[in-house]
Amino acid sequence: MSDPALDPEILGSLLDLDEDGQFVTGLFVTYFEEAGEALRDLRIAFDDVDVAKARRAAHYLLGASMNIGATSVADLCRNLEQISETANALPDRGFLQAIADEISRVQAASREIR
Amino acid sequence: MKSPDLYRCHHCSSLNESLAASWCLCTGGRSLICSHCGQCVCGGPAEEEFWSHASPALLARRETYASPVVREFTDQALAGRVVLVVDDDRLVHAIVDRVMTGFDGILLHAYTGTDALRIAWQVRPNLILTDALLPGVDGRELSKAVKSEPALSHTTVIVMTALYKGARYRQEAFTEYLVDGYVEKPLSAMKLRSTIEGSLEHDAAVQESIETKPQAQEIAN
Repeated sequence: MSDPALDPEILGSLLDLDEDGQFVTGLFVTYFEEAGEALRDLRIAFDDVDVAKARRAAHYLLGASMNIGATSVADLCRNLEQISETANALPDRGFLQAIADEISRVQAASREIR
Repeated sequence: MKSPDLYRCHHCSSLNESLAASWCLCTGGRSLICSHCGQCVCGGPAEEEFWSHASPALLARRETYASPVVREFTDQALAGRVVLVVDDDRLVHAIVDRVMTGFDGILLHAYTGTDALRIAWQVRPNLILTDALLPGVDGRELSKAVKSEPALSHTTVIVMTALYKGARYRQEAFTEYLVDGYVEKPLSAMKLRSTIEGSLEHDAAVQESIETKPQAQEIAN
């Protein structure tokens, strides 16, 4: 059984703030916009073999994912950051697909909230 | 810790004893002047740009400001309750805004280190809560710039990081970048609020303990 797409503790902490029922929804809208931007930047970075750009995009997505509780996306981004830093090279392009797939899981999970 | 009452004019380099002389919302006519040279103390950006950094709660009160934010900032800053949040992630700002609902102070937002420095110069925040990794001037460099500036030495800087974890980075943050606090992301809502409120309360207590002279008179508008 795979890990949950959203960390229940972080999600719970955000839901505790959601008095009007709009706050968490708004957060996820923002997150998926940011994730889309980061994925686009990552694809460009991989196309251009731009390690620095990939690291910045991965870090940005890492932070956003942690804030929303998408810890599995965050873990993949952290791995990508570490690989690019230690090897000064980009991993296999399959990494990008794994991140995209995990974001899709988060999307599905976000629809189930409440 | 230096009293927040001393602010330097960027024209004549004089020190003003009142915060009112150091806040600037230059719109070509409505600005605050240094009591020594009569110039606007920093020639800051237009008022609209300032408001673009305001929190929704502050924006909602905009209509109530006659001599706009000057007086409000003076009072709030003397009360030790001006907070600047710096992060390139909109989620962080949305969460901080929600966490700080009912905050009896002023909450400002910046998305880059460069913007944050400019805002810090103008409004002299009591607390800067900044992400470590930012585009351009990063949070740690922001801290160093702020803490190295006498006019901003009262400002508490807390750096948040998801990347620079570990004892080495923490030590470096304190010794080289002069941060006052170092917290690891993600922060829970409760931890975020307690970090901000705790820092402001500590700052107020320190100010109270070193206050040995009467409050300087405010410069008349």
